[in-house]
Amino acid sequence: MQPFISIGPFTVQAQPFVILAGFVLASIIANKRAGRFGLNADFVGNMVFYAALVGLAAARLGYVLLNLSAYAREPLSAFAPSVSALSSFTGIPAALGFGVWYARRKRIFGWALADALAIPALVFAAALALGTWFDGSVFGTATPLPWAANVWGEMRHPMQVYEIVLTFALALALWRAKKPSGQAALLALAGYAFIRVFVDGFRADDVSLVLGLRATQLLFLALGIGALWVWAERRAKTQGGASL
Amino acid sequence: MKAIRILIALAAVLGLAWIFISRPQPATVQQGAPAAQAIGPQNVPVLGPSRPTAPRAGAFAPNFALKTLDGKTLSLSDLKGKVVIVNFWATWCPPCRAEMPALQAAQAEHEAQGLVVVGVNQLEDVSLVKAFQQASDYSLNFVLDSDGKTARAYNVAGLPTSFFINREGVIEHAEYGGAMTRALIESKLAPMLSQ
Repeated sequence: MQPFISIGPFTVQAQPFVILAGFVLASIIANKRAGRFGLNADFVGNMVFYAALVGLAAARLGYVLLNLSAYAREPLSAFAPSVSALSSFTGIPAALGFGVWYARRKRIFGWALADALAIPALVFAAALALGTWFDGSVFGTATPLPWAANVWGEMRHPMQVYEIVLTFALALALWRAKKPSGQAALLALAGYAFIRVFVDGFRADDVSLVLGLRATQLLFLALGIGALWVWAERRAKTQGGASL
Repeated sequence: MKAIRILIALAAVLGLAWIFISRPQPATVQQGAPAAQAIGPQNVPVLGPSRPTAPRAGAFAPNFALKTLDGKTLSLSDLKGKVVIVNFWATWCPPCRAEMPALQAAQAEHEAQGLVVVGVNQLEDVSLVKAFQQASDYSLNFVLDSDGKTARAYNVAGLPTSFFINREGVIEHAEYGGAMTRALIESKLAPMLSQ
């Protein structure tokens, strides 16, 4: 855990910095991959950028609405630059909703777009994982294994390392895909979901439980199986689609 | 297609098996940790092997015992049962000064509900801090981190930094940087005060 990173004379908050850097990298990759799947790179780049802005605004608006009694007394505080006053419950759906709306408007909505965004999404997911390492919000169970990481005086599973390595391996495996059939996107989704089923098994921080099992693992397993099922169905329909 | 369906079914079975094998085991907190380091209860069942003592949300707040401006000692462990904001600050730090009225107002409003704001001054002389307090008429609990040891225990790399600690001694929120607005402070405090 390291909440700050110092770069020369500047000290920045590590988690927002890593997430922002991950977003920039993911945007660059999305731009590059758009052409590969026959899409207008400008449209894809703009969609990602505007969706992020809309998501950020909606995340703040959601936070303010959830804490209305606090903000009603001083409404201008809603514009104060604090990264902790954001709600993902409104931010993420708003960003996704805007992205879909924009893509439809620009006529780029479809499997090709999903394929173009598959690897950028994996890169961004890895950045989010790295962010949780820096802010210490997610940490592994204790283990005597030689590659354990010292977190607060206890040797623990470096679960973010597992997640990032596996996610990058998945991204590399899908890198060569170029057929805009949705296969890269569905395999990325399924692969990432199975990675989370595996990695979350080492989580020691508080998570919701269902019948004594971690809810996140169950959700990701359902998501992974669902994505794999759709992938198989589509593959069967477009016979000979074994190659990506 | 049949082979793929079998593979998907296999993935589901293996996934469920792993979820079951890796399910969290109830355990007790930090059995080996000295009580002085953690201010929370020592035998509360939590997920995983332990809830650590660390300067992050979800962990027990590291304890400290620091001198107040009138020479007494204020220890975080004495404040168990209270909601505590530990605010690292210095008189030379503009955003620290900017957020202090909001902290003062929060303490004044919620004192009866058990809110205590502890202003941990960084490396400044007691006379300077006293002069600041008198000039501004703040009634916050100022303490002196004269050697910076407490700031290091809390991983403080910039001022201001504030930790919102619940009645069990667990950090609910860490706010890096400032200045915090009154609304932000209230939004973080509301669920803690109602517990």
